[in-house]
Amino acid sequence: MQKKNEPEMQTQGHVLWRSVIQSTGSTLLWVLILLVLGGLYLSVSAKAASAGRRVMSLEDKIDALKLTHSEITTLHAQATSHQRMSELASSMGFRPAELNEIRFIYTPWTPEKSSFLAPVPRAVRELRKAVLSPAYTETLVDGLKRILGVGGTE
Amino acid sequence: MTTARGFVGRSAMILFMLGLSMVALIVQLVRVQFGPFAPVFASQTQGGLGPVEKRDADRGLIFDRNGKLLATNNYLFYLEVETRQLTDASIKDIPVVLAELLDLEELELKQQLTMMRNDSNYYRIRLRQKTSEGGWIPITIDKVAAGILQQFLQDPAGPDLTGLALVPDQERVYPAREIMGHVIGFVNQEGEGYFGVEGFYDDWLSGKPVNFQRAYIPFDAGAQADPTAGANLVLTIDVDIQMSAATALRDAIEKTKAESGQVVVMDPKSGEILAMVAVPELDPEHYEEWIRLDSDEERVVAPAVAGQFEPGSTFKTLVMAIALNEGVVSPGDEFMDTGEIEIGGHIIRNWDVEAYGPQNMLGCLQYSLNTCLAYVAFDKLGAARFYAGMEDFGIGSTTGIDMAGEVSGQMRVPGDPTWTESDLGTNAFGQGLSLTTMQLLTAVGAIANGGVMVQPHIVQQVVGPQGEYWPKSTVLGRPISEETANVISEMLHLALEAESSASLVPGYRLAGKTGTAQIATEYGYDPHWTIASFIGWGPLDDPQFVVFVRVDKPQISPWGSVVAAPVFKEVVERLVIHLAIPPDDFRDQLVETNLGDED
Repeated sequence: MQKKNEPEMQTQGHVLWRSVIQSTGSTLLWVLILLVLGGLYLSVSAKAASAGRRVMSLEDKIDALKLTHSEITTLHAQATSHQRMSELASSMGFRPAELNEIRFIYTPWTPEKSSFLAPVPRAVRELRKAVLSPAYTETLVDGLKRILGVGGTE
Repeated sequence: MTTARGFVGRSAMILFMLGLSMVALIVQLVRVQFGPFAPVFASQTQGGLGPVEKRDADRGLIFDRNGKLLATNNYLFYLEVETRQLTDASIKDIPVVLAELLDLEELELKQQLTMMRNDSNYYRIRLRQKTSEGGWIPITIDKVAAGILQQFLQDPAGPDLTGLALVPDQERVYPAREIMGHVIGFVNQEGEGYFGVEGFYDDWLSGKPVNFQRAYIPFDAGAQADPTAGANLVLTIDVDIQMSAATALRDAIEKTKAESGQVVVMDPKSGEILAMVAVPELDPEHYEEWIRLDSDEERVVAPAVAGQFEPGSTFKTLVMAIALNEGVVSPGDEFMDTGEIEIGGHIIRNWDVEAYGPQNMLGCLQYSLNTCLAYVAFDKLGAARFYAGMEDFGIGSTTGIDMAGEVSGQMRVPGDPTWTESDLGTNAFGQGLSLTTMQLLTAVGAIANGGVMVQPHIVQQVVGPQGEYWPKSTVLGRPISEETANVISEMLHLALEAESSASLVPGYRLAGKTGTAQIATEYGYDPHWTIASFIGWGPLDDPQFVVFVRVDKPQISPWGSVVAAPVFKEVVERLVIHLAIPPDDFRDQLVETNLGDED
């Protein structure tokens, strides 16, 4: 009886093993599909994140340039203020012309002086980098390094 | 079996990697929630700052009519500390670094940090420093110092500045400094504009702030709204003229040892203010003392629109203009001056207490006879026509100039419980009433402009993100006819040539009137001090400017003809150069040539 049953049991064992492989295979297939989908999602996200980082970086650069422009404008205005220029001119020996030293000449071909037009104001944002606490930028690796004493400020 | 073992091994590896990722994720979540930086997030929420922040717009720039920058913005940083983020090391290091870098008291800083850290009510504090007067002001640093601190913050090997944050802000910068202080006003530490143009156009200049959430996630890049920037303004002021007027006034005040003074120049046709100077000058970057003076009513920030005074004899210009316009007198009408006249029980005498005998109306203006003008107002015009005429000239009401703080002056009129007939007599020569420089300038501007009174304004152009706007000249009324305006102008031209040589500018026909006003106090008129003034315009054939000069409490002479008239002359001599106004004969020649060409 035992000998008679042996092939049957072997067959049942193969069937069981096959069904395990089949179910594991199908599970892994789903996992694989999920991983592929996840990978695709991560890939697209990474690209979007990378582009976003670049945009943010460019925005920061634009803001920094605008601020620099604003600072230079202020410095220029201070350096060329009427008082400063008057002092400079008088130190160089110049003085305002008196009325009796002025000679008026009629020049009909001279174009009329055009009015000054103020520039259109543009919003300048804050310097985000300068105020960003490390709380927002520290990665897990940075944190581990800090805790282990490899680096950081604590 | 090898295949099965390999499969199991790979599966285990994948599971291990997934598990590791999960652990890392959980650790990161725990770290954010409970780690050393947890108080940063907690303080933002609990401290009321919240995740939503307010972003202020850039304040608009202010230019003069030729594009010279008069007001701009500079960036500075406040030093703030997130108290719950402070460590034992950073409490020691922050004061040391700041004291060394910014030359501050280390102990003061340490006390602030220790005290606030132990107080659970504080989550975020702004570091302060003591002033020389003993008060406290927030510590501000420039971009360079901020850069150094930022490097320290990012340097793991550097001093521990954990908890320190740099908060950017703007400060207002005025390159023209005190030359424009009384016109522009100033902006306080909260970014609010006060007085002058800054005060009047504060809403426009300050723009619209936005509430936003900081985009730390790259996907949110570009999604943040920018605040609407404040509009840029172009003033009607010409800094060159302003500077010339300031120089002339400063010199006059120094020479006459006067207390203060004003010069205002206006284009009577357009109402544009070309210069508005007041001494003592106001540095808009150091305005604190002026706030106290203004609130104590000792000295106003914008004296041309907010400072009231009794105009004295310059006011006779308006009285004579009304009388001529009403047809009650003509230039040749005679008046017998006995040196005094009684009106409403009040004896009115001339400025020098002299009698000038028979005079015509031209003589009345020429010698600035109080008695004559009181006679004209009382006997010829009568109270109803006098005050109606003054109302037409805008006396007693604001001009509507676009500067903050304008006042209307004071003039009692019939019907007021305190008005008496004697008021009519004294009002006729500019006493017993008060008005602002701008009111007088606007009213006299009507005479210069052929009877048409134009509203004064100081902003020529507004440029905002949505577009540009050019305020137009507004006619306030026609208080006198063109004919009357020409007659009174001619009379004042002749009076000027005969009596006020100090104000004459060779080559130009000008009209004007001197004024010497007593200063009213709560105990009557001050027996010592006067306000010496002069108002004039020209060139008579095509008036392009009205100039008002006022010198308060001069010591060398009390008279407008001695103190203020020379300032008028000096200002006009520079003005005709700046505005490129050739002498009368040159312009007459030009007109003849042009007419010849047309023929």
